[in-house]
Amino acid sequence: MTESMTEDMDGKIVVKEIPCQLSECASTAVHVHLGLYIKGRELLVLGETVLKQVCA
Amino acid sequence: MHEQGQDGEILDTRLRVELPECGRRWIRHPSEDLVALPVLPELEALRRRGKNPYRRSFSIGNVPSDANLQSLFTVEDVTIAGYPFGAWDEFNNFPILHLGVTASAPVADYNWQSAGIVDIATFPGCSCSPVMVLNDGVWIDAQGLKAGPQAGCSFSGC
Repeated sequence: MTESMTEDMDGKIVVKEIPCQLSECASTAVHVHLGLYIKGRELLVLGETVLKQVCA
Repeated sequence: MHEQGQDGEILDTRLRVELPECGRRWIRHPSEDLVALPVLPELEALRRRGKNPYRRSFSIGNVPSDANLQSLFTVEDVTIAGYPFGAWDEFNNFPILHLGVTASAPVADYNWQSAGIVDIATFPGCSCSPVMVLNDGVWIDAQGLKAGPQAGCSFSGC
């Protein structure tokens, strides 16, 4: 399981060209609540690797 | 770790487990972002001192077969246990549980990887959390209605 990817949302600190003045805005990286997981079958591969190293 | 009583109950006493040279013990998967940390020697040392550490483990039987994956729906409820931003129940010594759903079909490999996507609140500290399909009681899969305590617990990944 890994933390979810992030995406810059509205609120980024940017300098906007606004008629008559420059404006600063807040920016926050927001997790998009998606996580990537490795399939369980890879645990079997990892288990074989562990056995090889422990038994070596 | 919690200490376990004679009847399997969790006791209030805590067992401190120290792992010397912890950084050198990790064993890496040859290609995926997976590691293992062998702790059996320390657990056996506790048992020799008459202490029985409480733990719950996954077994090979919890790794879903291709047939198991075929029986899952595209959108399944999943549960993860982790430590988001380092948060945990320090008093009771338990991690934080989150619920979510699969965001890619469990039977499919996401983007040619041996991986899948879940729609769940994940933050730093949730890395390596097990992703589980917990079917306890009555549930439905592609074959129909099923029932039984913990009978359908399957480990989807981590």
